[in-house]
Amino acid sequence: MGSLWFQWSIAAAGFDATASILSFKNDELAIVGLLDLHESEVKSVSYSPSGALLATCSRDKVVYIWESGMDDDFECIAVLNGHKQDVKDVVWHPTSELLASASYDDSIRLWKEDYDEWYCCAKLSGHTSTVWSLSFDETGDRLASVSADRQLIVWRQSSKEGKPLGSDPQWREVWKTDETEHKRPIYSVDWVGSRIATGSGDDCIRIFTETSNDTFEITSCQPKAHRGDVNSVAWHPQKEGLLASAGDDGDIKIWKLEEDV
Amino acid sequence: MDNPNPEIRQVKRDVLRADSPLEETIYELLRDIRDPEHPNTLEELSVIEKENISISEPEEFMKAVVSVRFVPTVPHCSMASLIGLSIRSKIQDSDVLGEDYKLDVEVMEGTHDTGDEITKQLNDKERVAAALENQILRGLVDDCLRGVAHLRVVPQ
Repeated sequence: MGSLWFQWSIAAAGFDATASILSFKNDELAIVGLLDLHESEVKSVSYSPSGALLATCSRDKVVYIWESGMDDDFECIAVLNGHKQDVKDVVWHPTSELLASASYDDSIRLWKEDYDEWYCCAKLSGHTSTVWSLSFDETGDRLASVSADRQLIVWRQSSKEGKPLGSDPQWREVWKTDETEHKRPIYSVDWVGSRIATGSGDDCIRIFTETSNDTFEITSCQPKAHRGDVNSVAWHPQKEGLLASAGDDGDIKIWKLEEDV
Repeated sequence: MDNPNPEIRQVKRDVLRADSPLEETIYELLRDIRDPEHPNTLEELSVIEKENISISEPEEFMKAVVSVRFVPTVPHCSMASLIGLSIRSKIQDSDVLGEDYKLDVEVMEGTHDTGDEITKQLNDKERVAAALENQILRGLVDDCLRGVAHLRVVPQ
């Protein structure tokens, strides 16, 4: 399912209720760690920006946070209970140790640490069905979410001005797609720069571009991107306009965005 | 048992021709699935009906959507998820839809106390995949898919 790189390690989520850490040793990829606390399928994994923490989530409704020690050892340091149903995705904030999780219970939760205790610091309600995937923008001030309700929502963290010192920021919905844009559930979202890509059960990949502050327009729609649901989309982190996608047809495709001339 | 005395309908068999509409092909595929609680088929119990299988007109570049709505025999039927799972599994394992259609399996609106929840579950592909990998559930689904013929003694 989900997987993520950190330096030469890859974390992979498994339908067999485990998450695996794979690493290149002597030019070969080998499993160096197995995280097996979850009770049912692991849906997603995510390394924190520093690589020190790894988050995993599962149909068992729980999010675990793991700390990587010496020799690829991982120790569970937090159990995040709160979601009432399957947790479909976890992503870290790009610059701080703030974690976002998406669930079958239609909500998004944000989690952070305070004096060694992890707690839910915000709950984002706006979707009317399963939230499948999340992506922060580069600053981490905004979060994009996609759902089986066929909506892409952009959330913004409100400024802390006027709030009591130490209070958690609120997140509010600042933009969402037209209801009829996506024809089936949206399974994946990825945000780089001014562009948000979505992968949907209507077999299309769509690209939304920010035209003015917090306003987006659909600038590209690739129909029949796969011969089945598009399960995952991911921008190249550096090369602008390169996008990878994975579908129910078992294919992985690399796309290049061509600007209109 | 949630419904000890269900109404049973006498069924007659139509001849399925090669050029039958897709709705009929799907109905033919589903009619003999056995109800988990009764020695009867989904057709005999009116859980599935021809008019509750529909195909949407596809929008441009989009696949058409096949929608199968079923009616549990009683609104508190605890077997409704299993019936839905059997319907989905039967259609997915056949090749009637190929790559040309999307499939929605739904509890008919207003016919079950937790219909929306069951419908949500039946259309979450990860939930469905997990359920069908579960050996106990898989066994129950396979039982439904075996039909009823083996339960009935043919009079000499």
